[in-house]
Amino acid sequence: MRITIWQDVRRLWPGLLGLVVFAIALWAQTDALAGVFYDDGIYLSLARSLAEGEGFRYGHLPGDPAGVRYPFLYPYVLSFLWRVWPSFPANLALFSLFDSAVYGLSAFVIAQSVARLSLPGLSVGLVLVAAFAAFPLLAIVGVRFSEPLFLILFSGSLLIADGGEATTKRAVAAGLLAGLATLTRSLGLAGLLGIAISLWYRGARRSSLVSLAAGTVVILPWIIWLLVHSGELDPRLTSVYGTYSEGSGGMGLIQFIGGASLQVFSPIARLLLPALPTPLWALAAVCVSLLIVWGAARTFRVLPALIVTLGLYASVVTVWPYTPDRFVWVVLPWIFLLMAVALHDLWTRNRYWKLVVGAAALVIGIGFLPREISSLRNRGFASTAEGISQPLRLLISSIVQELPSDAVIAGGDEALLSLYTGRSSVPSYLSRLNGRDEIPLTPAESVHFYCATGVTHIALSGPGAPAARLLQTLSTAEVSPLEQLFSVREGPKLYRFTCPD
Amino acid sequence: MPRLGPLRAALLAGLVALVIYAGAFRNGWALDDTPIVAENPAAHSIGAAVDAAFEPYWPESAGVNAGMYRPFVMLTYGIDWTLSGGSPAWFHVSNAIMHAVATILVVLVVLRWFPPLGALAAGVTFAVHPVHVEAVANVVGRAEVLVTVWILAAVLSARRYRHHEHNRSGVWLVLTIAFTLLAMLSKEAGVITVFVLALDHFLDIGKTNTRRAGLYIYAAALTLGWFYVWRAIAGGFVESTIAANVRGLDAAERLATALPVIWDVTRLLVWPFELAADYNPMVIPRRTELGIAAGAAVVFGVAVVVLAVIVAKKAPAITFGVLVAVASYAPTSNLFFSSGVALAERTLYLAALAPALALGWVITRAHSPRILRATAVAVAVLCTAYGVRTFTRTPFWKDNRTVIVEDLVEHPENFRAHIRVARVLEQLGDSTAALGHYVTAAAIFPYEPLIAPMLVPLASSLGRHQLALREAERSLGLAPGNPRLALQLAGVHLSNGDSASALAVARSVVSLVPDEPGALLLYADMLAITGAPDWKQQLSRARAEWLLGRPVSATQRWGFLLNAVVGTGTDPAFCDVWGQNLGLVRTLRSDLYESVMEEERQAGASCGW
Repeated sequence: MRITIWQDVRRLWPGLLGLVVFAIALWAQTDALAGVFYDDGIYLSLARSLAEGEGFRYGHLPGDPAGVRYPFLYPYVLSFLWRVWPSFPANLALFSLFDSAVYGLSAFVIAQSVARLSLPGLSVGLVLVAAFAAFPLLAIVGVRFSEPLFLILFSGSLLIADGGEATTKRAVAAGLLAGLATLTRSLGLAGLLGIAISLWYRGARRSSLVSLAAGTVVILPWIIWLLVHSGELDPRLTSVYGTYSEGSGGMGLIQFIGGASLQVFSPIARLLLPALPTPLWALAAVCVSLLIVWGAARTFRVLPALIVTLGLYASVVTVWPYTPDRFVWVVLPWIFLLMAVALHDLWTRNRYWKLVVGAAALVIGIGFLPREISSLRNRGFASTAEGISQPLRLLISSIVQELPSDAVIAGGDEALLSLYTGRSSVPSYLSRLNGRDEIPLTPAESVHFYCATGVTHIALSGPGAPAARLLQTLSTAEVSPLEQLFSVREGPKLYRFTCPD
Repeated sequence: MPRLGPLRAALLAGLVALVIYAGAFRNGWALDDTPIVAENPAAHSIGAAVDAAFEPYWPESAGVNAGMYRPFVMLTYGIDWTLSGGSPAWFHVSNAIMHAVATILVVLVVLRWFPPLGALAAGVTFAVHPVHVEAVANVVGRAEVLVTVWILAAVLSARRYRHHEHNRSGVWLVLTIAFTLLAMLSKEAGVITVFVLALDHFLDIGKTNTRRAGLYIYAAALTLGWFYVWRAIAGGFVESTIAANVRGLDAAERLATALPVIWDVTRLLVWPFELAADYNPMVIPRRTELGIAAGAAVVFGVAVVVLAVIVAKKAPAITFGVLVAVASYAPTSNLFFSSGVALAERTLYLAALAPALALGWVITRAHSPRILRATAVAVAVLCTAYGVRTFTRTPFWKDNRTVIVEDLVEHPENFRAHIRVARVLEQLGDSTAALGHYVTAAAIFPYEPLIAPMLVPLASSLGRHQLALREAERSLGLAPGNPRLALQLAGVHLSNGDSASALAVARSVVSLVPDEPGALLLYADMLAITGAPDWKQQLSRARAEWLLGRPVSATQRWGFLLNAVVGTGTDPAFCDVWGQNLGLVRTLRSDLYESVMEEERQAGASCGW
């Protein structure tokens, strides 16, 4: 008798890793309300509009304007699942299952790619498990963000591009996947350009152009759609709902680049390093950055598309006028692998470098592991989402039971409020960008906006909410447009809003 | 005489399976058939079944949720209803056909190890085994039949996948995964499919393509995904329907009860002539201490598993049958976690593979015609006896009345049987006789707190106040934090004119489960009835503190706060909170506001406004 199941575990390890990561992702799903991190609520609102045949529109906003800010693909995929299981919020189980499955598949795909790196198999497995189970990434995977879908499309395109001979077929496939990644998160454009550049660099100029063309074919209809619909929004909403060019506050390229944050790797340093005196911590953070760059340099020969793409990605994140964390977490598995390559490379040089690597591993172990273990043990990665949910549950319960179905609610998590209450909603806090500076609308402008959009009630999730100050000002005005309906101490408040004559 | 080929053996066994259940075609709906099929709109059309694809198996209207998620079974009900217009006869025909298909698949599976005659013996044994009657003759038992069909289909498909040419194996892989999914969508026990596939692979004597182990990753991922969806839809309800035999027991006590059941399982698989529809206490007693029976069961169980593994090389069919039986029994065995049944014959449907394969193996081992003839006759006699028992048992599941009455006659030691009879008698208006059966049920199994909600009102209405009081006290003693039982006891006290005891009951429940809204409401009711001002203050505080972190509506919150202010007098903390919510009811619920204006005036006065 031949017992064959265990004979080719080595061949199966990417699949086993995918299975483990899938299980971790399922475990990481939270009971928090969907939409607590804002974008997740918007994705679901767009998906609901698509599923209900209303098109790619912000169904929660009065007038259902076109969804011109958020890339199309993730809400579109969710809308299919929504049609299969139309009962919200019960259908969140299906969405989270999909995200978890895709996350597991991403681990499988990345594990396939790293077969070409000269790293010991076991250490690659451990590094990838650590990356995929890292608490910032679990916090993202536990809610309905587009990162898992982006990661698999992004990684899949790079796997194909770096996978072997640069044939036309391969270039088309890589370009198509990179295009789809761009339709999931705009930063996928880095993949499309990175693949084209790497193929060009390898001398496969025809394939380079083909991949670029394939990706362009995928994203072109979307760009045309954006151009057609970009003027539909109330100008006051463009900073949160408009296209990036609309919301950039007329920032020029020079302003864009001039204001770049050079701390693209700071989230990694914060994740990995222990608390140290500031100069020492800064030095260690620089070392972490150098380690990543060193790993990238060592990997470039075998995975050029990956490295060029990550370089472009990091450049965009550097100048992007938002904090880099979420953009960095999604490529964390790749970054961990680059660091592992660097450490392995140094380890194999001489015994002095072995000491350096040992010290680096010790520092990272002291910095990362306690936080990671604590987060996994207490489900700390989910605490933010669940904490935000608490006051919102109070608000939702009251809005559903007390307010008329045609009420228009202004709130901090307007998509979430609309999803759970069925009422139209708008943001309660609005700002405009002036270059990189965010300038809140004045109380008068806000009141004008509320009146224009037909707001009847304003919900405040707590004293720390962005609109708290504005509402405080409005409620203490001589003739206040607000009437407090209920309030929980240090908790949520609900106001009736009456438009001043 | 025509030669017995593999296909003929399979079809013959299938035919036997169909014929033996011909008597079931006259059966109607019995027990769970009624809420799950006959009265469940989701089972009445294909569209409705598809719409309910993400709903728990038990309809909400039944008020039961046992943690079951079986959308494929519901779909087959929808198909049957569409085809038959709701005729129970057709549902029974459908069940018998599914049983025949399962039997054919058993033959096809064992043909790898047995010649056609041995496979036929195994198939016929499986077809006529009396432990199957509940699964086949009762409509809702089809979940067991279907899960077996899909598991066996997955085994056959996986074999083709393992042995097929690489470039054409994809179809078999997809089929195997599809059958695995269908097994899980038919019954929760389908999660063992991965194990059964691996076991069959382990026992694979032929040359196996070594590059096919990825199947287990796909199947395991599918199982994980199913588990997640099941948990989201129905998993949260498992706790509410734990079998009475093990409910409330700690792990050691649960094992003390569950381990001796292994003997009952063995008896049912080998000598299934004494059957029961229900193994509630005291058919299977509740035990709290490990005894000799439990110890012997451990030794026996381990020995069976070890022997099955040892003989894997020489008798793989025995290994397969025994280990599949063990795996299929495990989820409902109460050995690893509490389940909804202490034992149910329907859950042994797949486990009957063990005796079936054992008899097939016996036939196969006969080397001379004389021995073959003798063993064939012995197996035929046993199968005939099984068949007769199956045939005579089938009418037991004819309808509710038959099952309820026959079950009580066969097993008067079953407390649940008395409850069923009592409920029927109560509906028929014979309250005195009904009360007698409730009392008997409580005497048979004094650990069941949920007899009292039926017994106590009936006893009170018949003027048996002492009995009502005793039973209400006993039930609350079994579940001290249960507001429903506390309310019942308080009600009995009040009807006896003892308001102090009623208030004491409510107070004790609030102290036990301060976070339970039902307890607070009970307390409020008792206070309102008894008018005890000193406790009102504490209640109000408890309610307000409870409320502040809970997702209750604005009106509820306002009501609680108003109560708190009135109750606590001039407590500035509550005055402050209430003051912030003052406008709520005025603006949102003018109807409610009108009715509480006086209270609000009092509250304002208390706060010094």
